[in-house]
Amino acid sequence: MKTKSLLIAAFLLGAGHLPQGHAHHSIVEFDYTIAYAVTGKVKELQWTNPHSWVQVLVPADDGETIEFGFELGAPVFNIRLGWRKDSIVPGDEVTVVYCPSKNGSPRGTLMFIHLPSGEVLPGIAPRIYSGPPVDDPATVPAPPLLSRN
Amino acid sequence: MTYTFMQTNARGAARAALACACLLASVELAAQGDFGMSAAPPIPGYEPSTDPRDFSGLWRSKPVPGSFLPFVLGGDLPFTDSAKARVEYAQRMAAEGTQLATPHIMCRPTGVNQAIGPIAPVYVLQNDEKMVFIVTDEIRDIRQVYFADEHPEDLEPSYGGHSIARWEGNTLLVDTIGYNGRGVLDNAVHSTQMHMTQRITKSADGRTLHIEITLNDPVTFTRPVTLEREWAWVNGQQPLEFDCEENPREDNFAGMVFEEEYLRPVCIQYEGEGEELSRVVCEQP
Amino acid sequence: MRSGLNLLHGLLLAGVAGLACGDELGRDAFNGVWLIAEDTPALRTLDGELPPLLPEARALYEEHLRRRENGDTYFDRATWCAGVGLPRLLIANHPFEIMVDKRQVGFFFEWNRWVRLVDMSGEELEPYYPMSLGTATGAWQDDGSLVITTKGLMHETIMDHAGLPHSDELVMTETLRLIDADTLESHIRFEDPLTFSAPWETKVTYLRQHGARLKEDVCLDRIKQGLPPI
Repeated sequence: MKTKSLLIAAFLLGAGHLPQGHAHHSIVEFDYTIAYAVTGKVKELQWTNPHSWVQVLVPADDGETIEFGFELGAPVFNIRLGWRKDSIVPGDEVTVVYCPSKNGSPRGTLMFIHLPSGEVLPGIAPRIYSGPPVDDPATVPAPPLLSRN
Repeated sequence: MTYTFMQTNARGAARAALACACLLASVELAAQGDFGMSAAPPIPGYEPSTDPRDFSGLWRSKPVPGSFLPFVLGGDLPFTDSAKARVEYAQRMAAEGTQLATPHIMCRPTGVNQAIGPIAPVYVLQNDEKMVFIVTDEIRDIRQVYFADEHPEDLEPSYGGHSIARWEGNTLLVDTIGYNGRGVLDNAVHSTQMHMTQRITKSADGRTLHIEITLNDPVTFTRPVTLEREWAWVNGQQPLEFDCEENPREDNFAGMVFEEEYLRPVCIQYEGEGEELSRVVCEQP
Repeated sequence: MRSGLNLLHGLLLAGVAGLACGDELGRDAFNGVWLIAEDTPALRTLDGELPPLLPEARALYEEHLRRRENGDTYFDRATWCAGVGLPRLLIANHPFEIMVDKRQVGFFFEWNRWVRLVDMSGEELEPYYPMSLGTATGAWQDDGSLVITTKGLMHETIMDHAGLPHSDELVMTETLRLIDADTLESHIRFEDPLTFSAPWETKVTYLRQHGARLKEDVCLDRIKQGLPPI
């Protein structure tokens, strides 16, 4: 549950010298080569160590709601990226661009979150992301998870 | 002898090539000199002292030449057979995408690792009785080093061990024993026999601490391992906070392998159904 | 009249002696391991009253009392060893150590190895963000006491074991004074207009723990053994 090691261990994993004791499982869990976008309602912001999380309720194609969890950095890191504890509140309609969990679960590491005010806040994934451009969320595909019809 | 990171290894080189995106990010971090840590707002009143025996102040590990992180010791250490087997097992698990639960990941003190290579700034407080090394940010740690000639006889083993120190000229000799055997050292687990010694000297301008660390653990290493590190003076910053236990999300532990039962969490935070908020549930052992 | 003057004279002398005792001991006399003298599960004002909670806060406090009575402690983040913050660490039944350094005063709390660094530079520091220990600045007074102001205390902690709530706006001001070499008194003032209808104060006494050294306390290991988290 160590957070700064997220970025560092991603490098080390690839290099084959991963100090297992310092890795976070999400290093191996997220696919940093692709990005998806969802729009939904913020349920909860967990402003915590070692990672903060944004829980978002997203409507699927069949009308059901899926809860997505998006990982951010620790508060001190988020603040440096422009976040504040009250940057988003429950009920906010947001569009989230994220790198998905490899196991297909509704989880991801945040690339960008587009707020009702128009502000866009980053997560920590942009530092590692290697997929197509995501500047315009309208061009970012929705995750297969939402296609349940 | 100093061991360097990324020793010649065909597999390692191939993986390094694949990790070029990560490398770019990592180079950026290294250039910042803060290992991805965020600099806190400054506070005044921190001027380095030229008193060679005054280590008090705020310090930060410098990146290590040939390595990347100050706590990474490298892949080619003189491990004993049992320790080597453990290292290779851990690396195999990581390559397969399986996370092993370690004391570090499960929010236990890191002991030797933290002494060798803290990634957050280190506040050093000092008086006639002791020197205290404090990290308030990740990974929160306090290490009290007593000016004494001998360790107490009734030492209770701990993650961080017990440290004493004396001056040899203007070099501080620190001696640490009393580890509880739960310490992680890169991919190895060091034993209760770990005996860490440090020689710490301050530069004449008061802006660098030179630290030579010797790790002596006959269960883990076939011979003593010596490392060199440098800590750079940092002008004052507000102490920030790291609360590792704060958010024990269920998905943190999903798929994690718990070889040691004591590491399996008692309390887990589950996400609620629908509009229901997340909640922590603790099971009595 | 004469006896009254004698009494007044005597009181003045006692007062001066009291001030001189604390001042004579010096700042380094604050160093050492301290433990709260009396079990304090619930904070009370100097008059022994419940602090003046606003209605919503009062309802929350009573809910906490009810939940704990029913065995539900999940309003208390100590349950899963998360940081319990201040003032709780200052009134818990766990020792802490004070170390006076030239740039800061360190409070080393044994409970789960928390460390508070009180900045003594004299600058007013704005909290970077709310944290469990907040952001603390301190100053030595002419009478030898130490005044510490702490802001930016995150609202997710409770102020005491009973469950006294607070907001991110809480400001805590401690005036620490050595009564004698082995007795440390802290007069604490709390201001939180979102929680309390008025500022209020309490007093806590600590006793020096001679020869003691802090243990390495690992809360997660304790709860794994079935021991209480705090």
